[in-house]
Amino acid sequence: MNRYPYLRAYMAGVTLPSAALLIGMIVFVVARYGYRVEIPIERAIIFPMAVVPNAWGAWNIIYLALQRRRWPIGLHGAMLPLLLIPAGLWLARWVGISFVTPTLAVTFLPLGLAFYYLAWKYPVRFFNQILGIA
Amino acid sequence: MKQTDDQRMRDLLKSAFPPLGDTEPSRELWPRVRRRVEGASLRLPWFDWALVALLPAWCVAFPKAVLFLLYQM
Repeated sequence: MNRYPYLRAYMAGVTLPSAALLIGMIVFVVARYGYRVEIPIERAIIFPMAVVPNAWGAWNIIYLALQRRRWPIGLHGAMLPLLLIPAGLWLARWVGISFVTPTLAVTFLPLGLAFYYLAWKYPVRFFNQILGIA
Repeated sequence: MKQTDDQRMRDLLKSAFPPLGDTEPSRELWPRVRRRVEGASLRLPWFDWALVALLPAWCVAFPKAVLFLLYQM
């Protein structure tokens, strides 16, 4: 059970955003096709589907690498939006998603920090414990 | 001719890869997983409770931020 710790860290990191992607997809699809909300879902889904889960997995690998320094996992997770928000804004601008704006990103920032802090402190830490890397 | 080549290739592969031996785990793993799940007690400090309360309040105050949260998840 002590082999491949970084692979297990990656797996523990991607679990929550991958599961949340299903909820996000349902909300986007219902809004787009049920209520005719103009969301370019085909372009908007790239970021949460391809970038976010991999970023969580990689971020958990970094956490495991820094674990000897007693770095709190909640704080570690709360720093991830500081990378993901600019990346999301850049991608949104690049693929032409109009609803993702810098103003909305600033509004989202406190929510994102709190959400990521809790998500990493409880579910991700739980997955790390299950996989024997906490 | 092809059959002998196949046989030769099979022999070469067998000689290149050592036998795996006993692939079963040395002990039962499921009880250890259960112990870990049951041992992980959930105790939330007041600061975390405050954040839990803040999340829905923020979503109500700024509904568009939820859309961005979905985009960021």
